[in-house]
Amino acid sequence: MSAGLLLQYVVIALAVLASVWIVLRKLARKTTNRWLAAGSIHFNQPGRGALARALGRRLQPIEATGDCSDGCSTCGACGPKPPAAAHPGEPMPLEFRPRQ
Amino acid sequence: MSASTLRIALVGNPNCGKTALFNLLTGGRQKVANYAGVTVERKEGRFMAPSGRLLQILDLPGTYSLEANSPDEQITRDICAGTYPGEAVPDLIVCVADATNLRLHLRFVLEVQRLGRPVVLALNMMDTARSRGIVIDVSELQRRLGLPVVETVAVKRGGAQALIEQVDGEVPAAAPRRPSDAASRADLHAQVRELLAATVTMPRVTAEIDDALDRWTLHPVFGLAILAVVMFLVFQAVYSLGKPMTDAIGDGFGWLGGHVAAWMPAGPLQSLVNDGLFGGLGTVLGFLPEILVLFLFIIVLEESGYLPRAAFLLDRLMLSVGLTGRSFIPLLSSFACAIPGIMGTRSITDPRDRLATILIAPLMTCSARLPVYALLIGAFIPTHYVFGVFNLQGIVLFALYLAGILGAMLVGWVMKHIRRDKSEHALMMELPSYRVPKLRDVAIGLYERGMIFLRRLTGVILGLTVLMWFLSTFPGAPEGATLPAIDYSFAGYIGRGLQYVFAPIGFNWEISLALIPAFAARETAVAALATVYLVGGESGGLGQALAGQIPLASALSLLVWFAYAPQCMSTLAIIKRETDSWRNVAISFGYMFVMAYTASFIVYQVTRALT
Repeated sequence: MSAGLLLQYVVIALAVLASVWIVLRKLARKTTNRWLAAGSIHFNQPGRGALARALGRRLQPIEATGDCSDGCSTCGACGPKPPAAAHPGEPMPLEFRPRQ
Repeated sequence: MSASTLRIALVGNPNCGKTALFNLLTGGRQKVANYAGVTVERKEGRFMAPSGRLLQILDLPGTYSLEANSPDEQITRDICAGTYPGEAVPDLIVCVADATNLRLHLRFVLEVQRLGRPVVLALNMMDTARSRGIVIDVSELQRRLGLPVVETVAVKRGGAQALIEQVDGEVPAAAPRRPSDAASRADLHAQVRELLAATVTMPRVTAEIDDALDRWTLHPVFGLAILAVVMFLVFQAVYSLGKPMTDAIGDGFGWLGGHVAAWMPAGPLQSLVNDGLFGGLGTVLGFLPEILVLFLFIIVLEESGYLPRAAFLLDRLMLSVGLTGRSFIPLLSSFACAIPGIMGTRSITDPRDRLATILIAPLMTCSARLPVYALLIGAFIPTHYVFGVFNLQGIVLFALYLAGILGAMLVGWVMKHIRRDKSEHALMMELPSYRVPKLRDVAIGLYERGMIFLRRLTGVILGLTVLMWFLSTFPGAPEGATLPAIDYSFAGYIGRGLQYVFAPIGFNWEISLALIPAFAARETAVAALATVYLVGGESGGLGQALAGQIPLASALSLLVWFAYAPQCMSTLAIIKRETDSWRNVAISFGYMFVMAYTASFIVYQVTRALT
């Protein structure tokens, strides 16, 4: 395999990995947030080097701050329920009650 | 937060301009429209006052009373009362009132004042009030209410200057807290009448132009005819205005992709760029103009104040299928995306009606389905003109949207007959004044929609397209292979596996495969098909490739599939979040799958028998 072709495969591998991550973030935000939090704790520990700690801080997942009311892909809040979305007094869960 | 930070809550009746004021103060771009129930959640923004003081502004859902009925109203009630979980009591409540309709809005002001917290009254839409000849004695109103009253025009730059000066100064003293009981609530109406008599002069209760227009738009026969014509023209315009731009973008991307590919060395990376990025992603991007034309009309209708009239007109029809006119606005929002539509059901008081609306909202054709429709209609429906005026492609598009609506009505009717509670709820909805949409607001709305589409395109759609290209390319064909290389790829194997399920409805393996990424974002079906066909050696546009590869029966079946198909993952997630029930998610997914499969099966088999 030529060096040029090898480089092409490396670029493709990186693009595919990045795509997998983007799709996972979209479809499984809760799970990927857990992974990021675990990675963040792992790296950001006393005794670690400055670079590792900086990476740990960077990996810390950011909680969604917006809501979805403007449409999909506007808030990144798919999945987790933001604390502000609790509706005191509302009958939850909403239930479909068939005729008996 | 610093000690000098002031927490301000914007409250008021629905559609009085709270969110417009919030946007003006904070520089935000929260959605505004000329009907009640746009804001259903608390929104927070910050603003630095001229004195350097930081103001934290809360935009709360509109409510007519602190005796809340619906989930959105409960948020406002609880935040004002200081009982909302995790939310501190606001330091100052800015009560926003529509200056053209103080008869309705002052009652809520008096109710808020009885909470015993500092209150400022912002008389919004003062420009409209003046133009209608309404005279308000602001100083007398201030004296009688015993709280600061300022004039605002939330839709004009600098229109909140008086409010900024007021909140940047001393926090006004709170009125004494008074209990809220039935007698005191009745007393509020008497107080409002007294205040109006002493401080407001109104030539007419409603605007003359509104009454004149309403005679036509609310007419039981002409009103429905006007509504049908408006909707029909919208879809005609999507094709007539959007199609030329879509074609131009498609051609431009084809040209650019060819040049970039020629410049790159031959190999897999060239295929990724040409077949995946330019072919797949470029095809989806081409549908942006049609999406923007659709949103242009939706935004204009939202701003004009016509939509609540449409809700009123359709109330009887919706009651007959177990819904109410109140469901109309959330369902209409679902034409943009089911997610804001489902969130918008928070303004529905009755939990039964709310759940029914949540379950049928995904049947409204969201904008993500438009690229799929436009692609298939462009490939299979000729560009004939009916009666020399109406574009046949536009008529088919209108029919697909109508199919979604009729499907929703059918599901609503079935749910009505299954459930126990059959009580009906009267529709009470405020009809706002008609308004000529402001060019700036329309432009901002279109820009926001365009950016949402581009974010999806460069995020999840890009990711899925790269993955689809990878699956269609690897592993390569073995030595001595006789079939095209793509038949030996991962995509080929997965697609042929799925074809066992979808063959009865006429889907080949390429279409069956494209349904998987469409579950994440519907537009990705277009990108996936483009990538699979390009990797498979098809040249020319995707439309041409489809027209050559699949029969008309399969194309119609696919169109019908997308009209009823199970919603995207994000919609399922929001159904779980809003109903707190996995059972509802399963019901929603299950009934839509059965409905889509059955409808596609019928369309495919009937078309095949006829052609």
